[in-house]
Amino acid sequence: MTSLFKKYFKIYGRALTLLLSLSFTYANAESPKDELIEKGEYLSILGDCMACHTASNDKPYAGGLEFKMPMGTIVASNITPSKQYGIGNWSKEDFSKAVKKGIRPDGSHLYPAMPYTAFAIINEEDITALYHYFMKGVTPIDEALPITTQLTFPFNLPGIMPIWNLLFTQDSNLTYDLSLTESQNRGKYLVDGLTHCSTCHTPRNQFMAEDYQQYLGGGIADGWHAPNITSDKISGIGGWSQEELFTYLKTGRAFGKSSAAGPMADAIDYSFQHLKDEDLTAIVEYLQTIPPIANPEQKLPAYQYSNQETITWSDFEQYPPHDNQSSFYRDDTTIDGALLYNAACATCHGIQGEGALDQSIPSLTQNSTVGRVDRTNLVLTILEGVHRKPTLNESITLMPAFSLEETEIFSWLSDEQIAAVTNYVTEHFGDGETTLSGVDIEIIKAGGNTPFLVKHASVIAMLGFIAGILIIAIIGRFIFRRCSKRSS
Amino acid sequence: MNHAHIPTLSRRKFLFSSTVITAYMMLSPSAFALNITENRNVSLAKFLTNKPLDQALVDRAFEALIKVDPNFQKKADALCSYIKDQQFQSIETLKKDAHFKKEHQTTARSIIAVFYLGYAGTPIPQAAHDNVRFVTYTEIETFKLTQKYTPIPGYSRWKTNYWANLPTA
Repeated sequence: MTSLFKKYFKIYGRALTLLLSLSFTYANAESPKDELIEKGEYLSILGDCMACHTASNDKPYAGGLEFKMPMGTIVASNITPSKQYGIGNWSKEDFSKAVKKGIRPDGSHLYPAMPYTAFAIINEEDITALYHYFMKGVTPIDEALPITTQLTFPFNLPGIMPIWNLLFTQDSNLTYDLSLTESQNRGKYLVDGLTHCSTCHTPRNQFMAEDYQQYLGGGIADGWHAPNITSDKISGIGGWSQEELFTYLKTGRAFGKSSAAGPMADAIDYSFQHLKDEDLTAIVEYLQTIPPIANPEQKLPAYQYSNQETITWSDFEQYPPHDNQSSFYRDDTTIDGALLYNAACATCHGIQGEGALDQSIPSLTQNSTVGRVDRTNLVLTILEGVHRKPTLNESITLMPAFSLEETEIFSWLSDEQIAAVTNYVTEHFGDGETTLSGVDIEIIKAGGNTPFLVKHASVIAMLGFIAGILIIAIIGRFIFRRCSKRSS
Repeated sequence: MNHAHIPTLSRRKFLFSSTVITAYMMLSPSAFALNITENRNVSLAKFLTNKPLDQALVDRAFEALIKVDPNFQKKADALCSYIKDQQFQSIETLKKDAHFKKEHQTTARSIIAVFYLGYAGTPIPQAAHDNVRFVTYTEIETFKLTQKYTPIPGYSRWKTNYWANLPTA
């Protein structure tokens, strides 16, 4: 019995030892893969893949987010490892080609709403980590997209994108810049690649391609103005300290400078706040080396404007002409900026635009959004409000939306009223100028002015086709006549 | 030649001295004595409240008071004349006067109340109509009393839950 027990004990002991050693081996074999997935996840955060490829937070990377572009609606694809609806059947080479060149395994082309023009410089090591993360670290979501990309003529024609790529994609070899430090070179790799700052912050030409002559000189993102982030002291970020830039990217706010809204708030929510400090520092250090680009219309740094106009209490506390029950009290159609500001904004931002004492509500004086000569972001902030998730250092940031389309908790303002209140803000707290009308608000709501070629692309394309057919007909007729003459 | 000890009155010194003297005159108790050179209503309101009030606010206050009581301007003028004739220097001396208590105290209280409450008339709770006339909200003196400790109600000037801790006196 004892010997039998010993025998069993030996067998079980050996089995246990073997099992333990196997599990250790397995763990050791798994750990590099885990690290790779972890690295890939971090790289996906750097690339802010979640922001575009997630329409609903409970279905990460399942796609479906719509991008209203001048050439139609582009829908972000499902990039989960779903074999039927996502990228589950893609090889690493397929993945790399899609991310870096914008070409799917079936040969079809992605549109540059996907920043493959920037991702082209991602190195092989990082692509490997990203691929592993999306294949093994992401839950597959087997759902078809409710809507697919719908582009207008002629952008829906096959063969357009290869020509565009040929003309406008840049060299994918990022060279080490000896004039920059190690950290700045890392920053360059991130800014030009994964964090794809240029996608929004560089203006685009008539063909919707980035104008690299104006690199980071200010562009458009989802209708918002993506400010100049070159080292120019007036138009750019030349007047920001390294600490201010770092804090802005980490928290979405730099006191006395700016507070993020719109797409930049998303970028901070999903990406920048989660980055390693050394990567944020690298990005900031590199941005400070970008050659300055000046906007002559911007006379002072946007954050330097203080109270331009004295606020008079009687301007916003209108005296009732009749008794307290008069229609005066029920009139919500006023386009008096002082009344609108003090009814809708002053409660939080203060009568003098001073904001909260701890600046949890930002001041409107010395505020980049208010002081910028381009009013787009100020208008869109009023129209859409601000929704920034809590970061490690900041609580949730909320400002109500005031447009009819966006508001949920406040009575809306008409386009004329939005123009009036924006003018009041810029006149009193910004550069002292009033520049907007209701028509301008309509244009900003529609995403700004569309490049001429894009706006009239269908007409130009049709005229091109007609001209082509005519030329072919003329040449055909000429050949036919010559042939007829020879035969006679 | 050494001019070091010769006292000279520079423009800077002159302006500084003038500012100090003006400030002293403005802030001294007699500054709120009835000023015969300015608008009678403004002068009377300043005297009664002992506060620096602007013309627009006083005009609005008296307009409201007159809407509530059409004879109010006459009463205010009578009070103004009494203060001037008796040469009262401050509200402190005026309020002890027996004749003032008997004849003018209600008028004075009405004027003072407008600047502390921001309206003229008497509110009737839960009534659609009363004789109340709005004057101001942000400019009332009541809020100025607590300005050091709390913003004007409805205006967020501090931070979330700032009232959780008692203000330090």
